[in-house]
Amino acid sequence: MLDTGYSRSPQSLDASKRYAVIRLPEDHGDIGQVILDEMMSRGFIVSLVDEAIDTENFDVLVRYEAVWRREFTWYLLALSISVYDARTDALLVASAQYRSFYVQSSKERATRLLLNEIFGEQQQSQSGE
Amino acid sequence: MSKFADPAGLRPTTPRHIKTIRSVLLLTVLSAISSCGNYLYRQDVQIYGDLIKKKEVDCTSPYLLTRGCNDSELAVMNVDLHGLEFNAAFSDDGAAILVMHEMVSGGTTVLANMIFEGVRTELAAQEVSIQTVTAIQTRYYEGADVVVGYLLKVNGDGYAVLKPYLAES
Repeated sequence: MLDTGYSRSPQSLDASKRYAVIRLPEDHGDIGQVILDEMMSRGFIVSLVDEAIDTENFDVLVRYEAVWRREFTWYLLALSISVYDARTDALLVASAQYRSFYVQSSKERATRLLLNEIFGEQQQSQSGE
Repeated sequence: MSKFADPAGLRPTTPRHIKTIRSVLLLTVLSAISSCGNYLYRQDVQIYGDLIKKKEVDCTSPYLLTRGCNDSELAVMNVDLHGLEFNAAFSDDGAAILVMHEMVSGGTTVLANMIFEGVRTELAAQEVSIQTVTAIQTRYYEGADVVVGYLLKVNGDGYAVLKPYLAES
């Protein structure tokens, strides 16, 4: 297992901001929806939008990338979630997780772990889970 | 007469569950053989700029990289940019930047993109913008084409921007 993180300005993220998850044009595992559901459960005001949409109505953009490998079925090998300032397009925080084929992770679990790293686990406890 | 015999009782038939097990085993073996060394990957990732093969990149081409470059490893300067660790090399004037990292199982392109976005953000904060981007591609041992780094041409001194994040040697 390997994990990578980037944290330039995490203090600017809180639940008062308006978040947009930018859906990938091709999203094999429907990861965008998983991120949306997980962020909503943490109390964020968040929408799932396409890249072309006008982002003026949002404060923070959430992008993601995923790599899958097929072995009878598709397994999630890598997932990254990156958070940007919508006004400046600066990368604020990012986190990535890689798994070898033999240590697989579900997309829900991987998403939860990365969002924990990005927003902190206290955000999750606020949602009452 | 055996309950597995055919209706006419001329020859014994194979029980259905044995047939099923045989089919599953056959499919397993065929799948293992066909996928050996050639796995199927799906990379839902963005690749920035044009592609260049890693073997076509050295310390003199496409840019002359005089700082932190050797032809066998390419970028060798260690960088820690807000927790993101990678290697970099620069041209003498800092206008050409090579950022690279070691391959990681499954996540090589994902990591390269994170490095690109981190460097882009740091350059922009110092009002240095990227003029051209080239993705350095190689083939992962399992058969997938992956991006291991990016070559950037910028309109300022990228070395000066990233210098505070270089690990002391």
